[in-house]
Amino acid sequence: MKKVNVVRRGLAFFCVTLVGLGLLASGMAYTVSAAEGSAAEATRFVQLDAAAERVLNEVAALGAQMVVLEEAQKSASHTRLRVLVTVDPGPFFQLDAIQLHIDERMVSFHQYTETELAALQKGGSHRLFWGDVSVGQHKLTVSMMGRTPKESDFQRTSTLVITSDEGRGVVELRIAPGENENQPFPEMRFKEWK
Amino acid sequence: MLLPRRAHERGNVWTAVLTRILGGMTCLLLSAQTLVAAPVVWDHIEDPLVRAAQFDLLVGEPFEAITRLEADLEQGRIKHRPAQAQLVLGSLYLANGAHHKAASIFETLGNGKGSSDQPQRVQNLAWLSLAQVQHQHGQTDEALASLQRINGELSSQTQQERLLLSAMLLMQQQNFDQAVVNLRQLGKKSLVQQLREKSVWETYGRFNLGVALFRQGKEAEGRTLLEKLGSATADTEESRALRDKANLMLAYHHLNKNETEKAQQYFVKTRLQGPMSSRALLGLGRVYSSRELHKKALVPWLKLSKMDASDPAVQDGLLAVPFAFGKLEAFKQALEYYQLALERFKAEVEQVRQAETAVNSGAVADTLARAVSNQPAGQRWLVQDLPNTPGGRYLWQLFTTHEFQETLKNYVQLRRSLERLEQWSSQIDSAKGVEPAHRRELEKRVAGLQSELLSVLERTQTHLKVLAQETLKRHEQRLLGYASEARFSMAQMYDYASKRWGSEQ
Repeated sequence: MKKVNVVRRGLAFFCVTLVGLGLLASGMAYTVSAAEGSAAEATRFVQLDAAAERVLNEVAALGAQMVVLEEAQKSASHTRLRVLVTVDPGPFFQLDAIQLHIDERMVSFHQYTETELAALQKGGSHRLFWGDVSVGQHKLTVSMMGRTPKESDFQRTSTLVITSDEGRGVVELRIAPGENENQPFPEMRFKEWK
Repeated sequence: MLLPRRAHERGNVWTAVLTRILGGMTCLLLSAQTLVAAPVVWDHIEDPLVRAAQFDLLVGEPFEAITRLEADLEQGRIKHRPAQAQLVLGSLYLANGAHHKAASIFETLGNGKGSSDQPQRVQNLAWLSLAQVQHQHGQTDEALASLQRINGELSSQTQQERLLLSAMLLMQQQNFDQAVVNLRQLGKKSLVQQLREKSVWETYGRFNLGVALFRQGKEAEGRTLLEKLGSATADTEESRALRDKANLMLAYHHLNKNETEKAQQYFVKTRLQGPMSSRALLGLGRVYSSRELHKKALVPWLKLSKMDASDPAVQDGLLAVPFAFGKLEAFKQALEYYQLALERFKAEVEQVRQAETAVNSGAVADTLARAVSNQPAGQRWLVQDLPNTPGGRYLWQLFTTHEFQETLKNYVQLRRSLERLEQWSSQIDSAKGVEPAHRRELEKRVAGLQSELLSVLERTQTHLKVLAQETLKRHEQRLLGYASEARFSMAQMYDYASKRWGSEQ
């Protein structure tokens, strides 16, 4: 008789655990029952999450003020020059790197990662140079390195002379791909944004 | 409710390492873990400064891009289509987790305030991404409302994502009827098209439809769907895991109805190496046991008992083995296995208690936050290696929940913000030519934000701790209950043996 009790107790216990497993195995049933039991916890999470978002947004707003403050530190005799790179999508040219000289001094060399190239292809513009130059005339020399189907070590250099004044100076370097396999070489075009 | 990951994603927080540690178990943890929303990229952005912000978004630096773009807007530097700058800001805030702010910006889409030039396809993707983020942040109603904003034709994949996400949200609201309507639409495409696309979305959709039909009481239809899924060829680990899940669900369905032969058919279809193997082994033993085939039951149960004892199915297996020996009247072995089970439960309780100590000290949250912070930009939330946290085996399931992941993200961002404030405070001190009133105002803002951040940071850390403590407490109580069960059964067996053999002497 006692032996039966031993087994019965074990079996009862075992069946209870299987009910739990059955729920777990059903996936959704488990998820729903869990969701039902934790409405208060969910509210707690949503409130805390909203509080975090609020304060993080305030930090971002202050961050913008700090950018303004930093830019205001520049000398009045300087202008903030931004040189941005845009790449029009095309199958015949793979950009590797870009080098920028301002008045014969190298100010930027950037080798592009796969993520960055993908970002360029999706319509992003890369900040090649983001700094101060004195007010007046400057020569920008850009060298572009990459690959085409016909040339694995393609390089091209282009020059632009700008006259910077106080305030914003934005120069866009647009790389337009070659039109077809016979003309795979990309073109570089400058555009000054006013 | 299960959702697949996008093919291009490398996984959400912890998934890669959990896959390694747990032998692919995470493939089936998707009931809580859904898609990481893709960045919302807008078409034909004109101003290069706005395009630069979009570049930062795509390489995973939304915070820096927000501050620069907001500064550019404030300084009046965005001269070409400033409404487009607002849209990119919306994308940046969304990528930064600020879904309320993003939602308020996206509201302008299509209302004629300068942003209606965006193609409907792009607007739809924006609403879908917003809905995904809202869902991750526990905003079910808002996520459904965002999905309602999607208009017109969608690409095949986007349509599948939309249907699956809305079905899941509806099921969370217990609206199974409407969820079934959505899930049925997923299967409307021709089989040829489905095969060509090899869409895992279809597979998940079918599985979820099967589950929803069960919940609706339409068992026969649900069973047919799951049977098809359980017999389908699967060429990816994700598909194989889903096939196992379907078979396991059917097996337990039949087992609960005492249809043991049918249950057995489905249990044996489940792979022995997959994430469902422990539950399949447990169930298969139960099938034999219910037919009084205790020797046969021991085969899967003994195999199960050698697996990782943090798995609840293995814990059941540890008690199931001596139970079967008891039924076979092999009391010596039964006692040995109860003793073995007891030792393993004690060892596991010790592990859980060590984890509790680490959680209480804040070490677990710190370790996780460091691991996340050390990731390169763009992969910030894709942790490849689970940090060596005590009792991590007991917490991995918690780590994959939206609530934990989003709270952890907030925790990391709040800590980083405190560091930024320190840095800005020094910059303000050393800045030259700043109006005293402006300097005071900035200092006041920094001080106010520091205090606010500390308060929210403390609450966030507490929340992470509470989530982990609750999880560990449940594990501990379960293990202690099982240990008591083992002790009680041993005592009963000793008592029985002494009476039986004692009286024989």
